[in-house]
Amino acid sequence: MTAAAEPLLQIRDLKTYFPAGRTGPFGLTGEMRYVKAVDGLSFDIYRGETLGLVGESGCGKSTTGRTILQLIKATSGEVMYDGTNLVTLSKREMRRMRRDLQIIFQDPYASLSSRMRVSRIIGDPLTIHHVASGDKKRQRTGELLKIVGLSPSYARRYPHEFSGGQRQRIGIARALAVNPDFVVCDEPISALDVSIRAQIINLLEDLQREFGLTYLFIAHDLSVVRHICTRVAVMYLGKFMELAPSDDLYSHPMHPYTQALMSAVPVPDPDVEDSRRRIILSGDVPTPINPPSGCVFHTRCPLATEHCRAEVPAWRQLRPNHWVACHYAETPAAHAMESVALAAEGAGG
Amino acid sequence: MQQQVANTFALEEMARDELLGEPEGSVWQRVLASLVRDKAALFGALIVLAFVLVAIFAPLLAPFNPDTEFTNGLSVTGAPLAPNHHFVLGTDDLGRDLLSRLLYGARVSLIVGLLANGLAMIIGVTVGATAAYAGGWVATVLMRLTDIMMAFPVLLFAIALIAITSPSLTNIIIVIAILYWTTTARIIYGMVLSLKEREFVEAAHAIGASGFRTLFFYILPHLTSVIIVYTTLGVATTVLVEAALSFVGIGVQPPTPSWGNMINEAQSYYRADPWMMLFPGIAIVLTVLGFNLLGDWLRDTLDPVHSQLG
Repeated sequence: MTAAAEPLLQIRDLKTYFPAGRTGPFGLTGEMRYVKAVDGLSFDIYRGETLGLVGESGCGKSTTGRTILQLIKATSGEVMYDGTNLVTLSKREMRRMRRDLQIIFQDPYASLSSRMRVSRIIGDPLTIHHVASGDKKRQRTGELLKIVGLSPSYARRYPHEFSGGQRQRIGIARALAVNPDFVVCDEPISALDVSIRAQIINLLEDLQREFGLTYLFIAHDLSVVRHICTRVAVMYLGKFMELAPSDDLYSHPMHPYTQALMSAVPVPDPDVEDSRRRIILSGDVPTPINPPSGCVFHTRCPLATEHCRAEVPAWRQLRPNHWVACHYAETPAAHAMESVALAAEGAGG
Repeated sequence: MQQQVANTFALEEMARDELLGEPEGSVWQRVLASLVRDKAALFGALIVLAFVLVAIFAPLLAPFNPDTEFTNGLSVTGAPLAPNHHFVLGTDDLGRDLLSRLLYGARVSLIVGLLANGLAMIIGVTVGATAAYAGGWVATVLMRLTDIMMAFPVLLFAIALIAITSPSLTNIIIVIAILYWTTTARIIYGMVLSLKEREFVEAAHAIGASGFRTLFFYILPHLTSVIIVYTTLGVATTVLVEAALSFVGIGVQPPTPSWGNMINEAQSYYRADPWMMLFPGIAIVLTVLGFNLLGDWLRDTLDPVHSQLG
């Protein structure tokens, strides 16, 4: 997959703010406050690729996925798909578009209605989009079950009769029912047993190859992302910190936040693991209601300077297709070690 | 009224629990087993069953026509007869057979119980679900309307409404429905409000389901157990209200027998002939008790968290 491929989705300055009351006493007066869940994202998703989206919980990655699909209304910005801006579509027009844009949910227990048979869960998208009805629908649901590795005879069962992995397969079948182009995978394996995860990942990869799907793969597990993604975006407090082809990101992480995340991934080799240098971030993620000035990461960044507090870093391409938002992206490694050493000294003394 | 408030709280609790877990599998056999184990519930279920059968088969069960005024149904002084071998429960002030009237009276109670209550459920579920799902000003208007309705003293309002129209079975049913949908609306409103935040509802949006489809096929099926329980408990209330309205003379009109108007007619004889008041009174108490016991058990059973069936 070359990154120069044709963009399927073009996201421009996408913002999703949630109202969070007023600043005054009892929330009656004062300025309206907002949770800035997604704060000005611009990126392309190329046809056939898997774009990974990683970050801590609460950084806005799920909201990003849902805003692209207009499951959550965008505050501003554009999501261009096939020449149409999804943000400005009416509800009715958007419903029609949902044939092409689907989602696989994180929790296979919560995302399937317990009062519906599998045939109905998978068959409803076909009915809604007038794809098939009657016998044809039954045939298609059976086919879909087979595609995701389940027996067509399961169609008459209810979700509670299945295991987590099987339920996730049902969720995948539902997403695929109407032959979408683009699927948001919202942490599709986080809720599953470790032993099942590989199966679902492999299934997603097989389906991508077979049906030419494009994925936005949301995750918080960097090792999984590395395995499945073409490119990876690292998100923090509603903003992208870094976006690069997978291999490049893993071999040359440029943003201090990415480096900290990478350093937290355990290595399955005791010798390497022992000598592995961990960058421990202090403190918690600041509230997205009042994100820090300048670079949003400065409150926890080991390299932060006055400059970082004052000025929002530009989104710069420093290596081929490798984008970073950091003033010191060129020299972070040396800088980081120094800071870590200083911090350690400070703590020791 | 107090009973109703207690029911509301219990149901709200149940509504919350319903959201925490899902009942598993088809449970009819276990339901039956649990019913046999729970003696109070079994008692309630038997009363309800008997009540329904009596109401349906009243013409077959009644020894006499309930409206016939027997000349031998009154004493020589013209007073109602006490229970005897001919009139098993005695007669009323016009010499009509009390047992036959009691059996036919069950029909009125059943019809009012089912129709008024059913209508109230339909209004309540529609209002509550629409308000919760639509949100915004729709919710404000509908739920404030519900609050206003709840603030009226029910019986006075019913009397006023029927005084404006005219007392008839149809009007009673409509009036009771108009007065008793509010608690249902509140409960359903709360449930839909939290159900619509659940992920399977978002999944329905994601596949392009319309608002109506989402509400009807994705959300409503999760409310069935609450609706069943509340309908059962509601019958008890409705039967009582009908009796009260008939007692004050604006309910079912004589000569049609209803337990309420039978007690009304018995008022002037309660010292001399207490059975005239006693038997319809017992009928009302038993029916209300039966539906309440059954409803309580249904609530415990259908509630997946506290269920002993899981």
